[in-house]
Amino acid sequence: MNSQTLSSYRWWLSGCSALTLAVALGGGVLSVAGLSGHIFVFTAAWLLPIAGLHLRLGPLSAFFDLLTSMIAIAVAAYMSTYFSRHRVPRLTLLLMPTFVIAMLLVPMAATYFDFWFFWESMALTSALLVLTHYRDSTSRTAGLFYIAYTQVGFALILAATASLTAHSTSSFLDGPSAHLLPLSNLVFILSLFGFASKAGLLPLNSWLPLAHPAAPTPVSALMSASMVNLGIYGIVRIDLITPGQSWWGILMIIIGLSTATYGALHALVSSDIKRLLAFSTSENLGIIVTALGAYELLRATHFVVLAELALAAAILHLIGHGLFKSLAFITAGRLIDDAGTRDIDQMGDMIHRSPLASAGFGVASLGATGLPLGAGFIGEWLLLQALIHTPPTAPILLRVVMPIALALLALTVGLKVAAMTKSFGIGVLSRQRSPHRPTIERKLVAVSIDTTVISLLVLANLLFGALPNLADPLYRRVAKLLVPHGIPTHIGLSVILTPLKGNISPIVILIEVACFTIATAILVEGRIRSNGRVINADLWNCGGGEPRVRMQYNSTSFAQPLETIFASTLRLQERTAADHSDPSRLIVATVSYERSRADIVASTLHRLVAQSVAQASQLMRRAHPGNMRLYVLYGAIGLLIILLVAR
Amino acid sequence: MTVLLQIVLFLLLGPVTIGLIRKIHALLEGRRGASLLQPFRHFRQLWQKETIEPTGASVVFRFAPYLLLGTSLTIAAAAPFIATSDGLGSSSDLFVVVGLLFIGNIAMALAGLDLGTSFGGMGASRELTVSSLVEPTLLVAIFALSIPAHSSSLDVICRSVLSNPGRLFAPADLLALGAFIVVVIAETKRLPIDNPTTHLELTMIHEAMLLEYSGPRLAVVEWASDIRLSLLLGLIANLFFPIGIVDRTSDSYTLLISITVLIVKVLVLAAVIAFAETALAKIRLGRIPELLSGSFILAFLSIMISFFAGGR
Repeated sequence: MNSQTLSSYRWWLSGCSALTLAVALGGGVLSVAGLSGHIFVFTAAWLLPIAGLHLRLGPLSAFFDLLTSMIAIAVAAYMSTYFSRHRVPRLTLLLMPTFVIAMLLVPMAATYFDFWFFWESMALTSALLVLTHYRDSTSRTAGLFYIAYTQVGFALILAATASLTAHSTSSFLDGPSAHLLPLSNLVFILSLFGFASKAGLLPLNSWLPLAHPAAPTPVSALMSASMVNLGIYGIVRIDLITPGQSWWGILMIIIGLSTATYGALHALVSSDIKRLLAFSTSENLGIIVTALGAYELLRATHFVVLAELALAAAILHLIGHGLFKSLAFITAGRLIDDAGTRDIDQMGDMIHRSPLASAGFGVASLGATGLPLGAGFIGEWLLLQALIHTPPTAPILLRVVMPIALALLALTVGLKVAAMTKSFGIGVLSRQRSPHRPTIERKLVAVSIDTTVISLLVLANLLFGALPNLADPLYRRVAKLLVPHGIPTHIGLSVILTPLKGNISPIVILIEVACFTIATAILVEGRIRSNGRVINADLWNCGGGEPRVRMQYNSTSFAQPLETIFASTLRLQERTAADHSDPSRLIVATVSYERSRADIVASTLHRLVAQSVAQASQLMRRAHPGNMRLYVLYGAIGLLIILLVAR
Repeated sequence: MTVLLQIVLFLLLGPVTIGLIRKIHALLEGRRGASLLQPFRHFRQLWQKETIEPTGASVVFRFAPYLLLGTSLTIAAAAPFIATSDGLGSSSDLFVVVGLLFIGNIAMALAGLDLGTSFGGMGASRELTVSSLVEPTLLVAIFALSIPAHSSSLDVICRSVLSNPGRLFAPADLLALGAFIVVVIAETKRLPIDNPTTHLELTMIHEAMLLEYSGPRLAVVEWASDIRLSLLLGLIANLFFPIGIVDRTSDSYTLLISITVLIVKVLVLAAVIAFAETALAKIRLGRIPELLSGSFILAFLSIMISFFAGGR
C-alpha cells in the first residue's frame, strides 16, 4: 500500500476513534446528569418519519447508558491501536461511533416506535461490524447467524410491544402499562424470548460463540460487555417495572440457570479464546437473568427484602460483568496479536511475551470466576444470599425452586472456575507452543494507549472488587424506581443485609489476604536468598527431563475429565483408530483420534425450524397444484374476506 | 488477640494433625511410626535447603504457594474457631471461606500448568475437576446449615447452635454433616479421592502439581496443605459441635479451655479419618462424581427436611 492511502487511513482512524470517544464521553456526562436526578426530555417530531423523535433519559435509562459509555470509552481508545494494526474498510471505522450512538439511544427511546428504530439500527450496525471480514466464509456464516437470530428476536419484540400498545392509547414506553390485561402473559413470553436473543440467553444464544470470534476485537468487546446489557434493559423495562406473576420469575430463573450452566460448560470445552469469552458472556447474562427472575418471584410472593437483594445482585453483576468482560476482550485482543492465533492450544508462555496483557487477562479471569477479590464476586454473593434466606415459612414453590437454583448456580461457578483457569493456565502460562515472531511492530503511541487502557481497566476491576460501595449510588437510583417503597440493600464498605443476618466486607478480605500473602512472600523469599543461590535448572519432570512442547497439557486434555462427565450434555463423540505397519498387526504406525461435540440446543433448534419450514412448504406446495379453478377460488375467498373486514 | 491466637494455633495444629494421621496409619500397619512432630522436622530440613527453580518459571509459579498460605491464614484468622469474632467477622461468611479455599486451589493449579509438564497439567486438571464438582454439594450443604440460623455467617451459625443445643443431632444436621465430611475429604484430597502418600505420579491429584517445587517453597505448600486440612476439620467440628467456643471478651482461662477443646476436636476427627483411610482404597477418577453426587443428595435431603419437616 502506498504512503498516501496509509496516512489517509490513519486520519480516518484517528477521526473515528475521537468521534467514538466524544460520543461515549457525551453519553457518560448525560447519564451521570440523568442519574443525579435530572430527567432530560428531547422531542423533535420532524426528525424521524411516522412518529417523530422522542427521547427521555430517566434513572433506568441513565444507568444502562452509563454502563455503555464507560465501556465505549475504553473501547474507543483501544480501537485506535487495534485498527491501526488490522486494516479494515473505512465503513467499519465509521460504523463504530454509529454503533455506540445507537446503543446509547436505545435506553433513551421514549416511544415504542423510537425504541424499535434504535434497536434495529443497533442490530444492523453490529451485524455489519460482525461482517467486517466478509471475504472470509466463517465470518459470513457468523454474520448470517447473527442477523437471523437478531431478526427473530426483533420480530418477537415487535409482536410483544405491538400487543402491549394495542390496548393502550399511549405509545410511550412509560405510559400506562398494559400488564393488567389478559394478554400480559403473551407479552411477557414474547418479549422475554425476544430480548433473550440479544442478551445471549438460551435457546437463542448460538449466535454469540460464532459472532464474537468473527468480529474485530473492539467490536466483540462492545457487543459482549454492553450490547447484551440492552437485552436486560428490555426485560427490565417491558416486563419488570410493574409486578408480574410468580411463574414469570420461575421461567426467568429456568432460562437464566440453564443458560448459565450451559455457557459455563461450553466455555470449559472451547479452545478459541474469543469463543470461550463469548460463552462466558452468555453464562454471566444467565446469572443476571436468574437474579432478575428471583427478584420477580420474590416480589410476587411478597418477600420484598429478599427481592431487593436479588435486584442488587442483578445490578451489581451487570456492572461487574461489564468491567471484567471489556478487560477480558481487550487483553485477549492483545494476546491474540502477540501470539498470532486465537487458539489457546497454540499460545503458551504469553506471560513472558506480553506481560501487561497477561496480567490484565488474569484480573479479568478472576472477575469472571466470581470468586472473592474479583469484580464478579459481590453480585454472585448477593444472589446466593437472596436464595439461602428463603424462610421455611415460604410457599412450597419457593422452597423447591431455591435449593435447586442454588445447586445449579454452584455448579456453574465450579465449571466457570475450571474454564477460566484453563484459559489462563493453558493460554497465558505454560510453555510456548508454536514459534511465532510478532510481525506487527508497535509504535510508541499505540503501546502507550494500550497500556493506559489496560491499566485503567485493571484498576477499575480491582476497585470494584474491593469497594463495591462505589456502585451504591447507581444501585440506589435503579432500586428506587423498581421498588419505590422499599429500603434498598445497604452496600457500603461493608455490605450489610439488615434486616437479614449476613455481611461481608470485600476490602477487609482483600487486605487480609494481601497482608498474609505478602508477609509470607517476604519471609520465604528472604530465606531462599539467604540459603544461597537459586539454581536455575531444567525441569525435573519426575526424571523425564525437559518435555517436548507437544507433551504439554492443552485445553482439550485439561477439560477432558469434566468433558467425559458431561459427555451426554455435550453430545461428545470420540473415535480412536490405529493403523498397523506390519501384516501381523503388532506394530502400530499411526493412531488417529477424533472427537466432536455438538451445540445441542442450537442443533435441536435449527433442526426443528428446518423441519417446520419444510412441512410448511409442503402445505404450500399442496395449495399450488397448478389448477386454475382453485386459484380463482382463492381469489374469490380473498375478496370475500376483504369485503367482510371492510364492511 | 483471638485472631493472632487462631493463626498461631493453626500454624502449629496443621502439621500435628498430619503427624497424628501418619502415626495412626503406622500403628495400624504394625510399625512404630515417626513422632507427631515429624512434619516440623521435615519443614526445617526443607527450609534450609537451596531452591531449584526450573527455567521458564513465571511469577505465578513463584508466588502461588504464598497465596495458598495467605488464603488459608485468612480463613484461620477470620472464622470463629476458639471465639466468636466480630472484628474480622465480616469475612467469616461461609461463601467467602469456600471462595478463599477455591482461590488457593486455583493458585496451585496455575502453578502446575505454568511449567508445561504433563504431570503438572494432569494434576491441575484433576484438581479442578474435583473442586468444581464439590462446589454444588458444598454450597447446598451451606444452604442446609443456614436455614435454622437464617444466615450463612459462621459466627451466626455457631451462636445459633450454641443457644439451642437441642438441635445438635437433628436429622437435618446429621445429613448435612455426612455431606460435609465427603466434601472435606474431596477438598483435602484424602482417600478415597486421592492418596496423599502415593509415589505413582500417574495416580496423583494434589501432589502432581507440586512436583517441581523445592526448598522453602515446598515447605510453604506442604504447610499450607496441612493447615487447610486442620481448618476444614475445625470447621466441621465447630459447625456441628460448637461446644467450647467462647465469647471474644472472655478471660484467658476460658480461652485456654476453648483452645484445648478445639485441639481435641480436630485431633479426634483426624484420628477418625486415619482409621477410615486404612480401610479404604482409592477410587477411580471417573467414579468420583458418583461419590460426590451421593453427598449432594445428602445435603439436598437435609434442606428438604429443614424446609418441609418443619417444627423447628
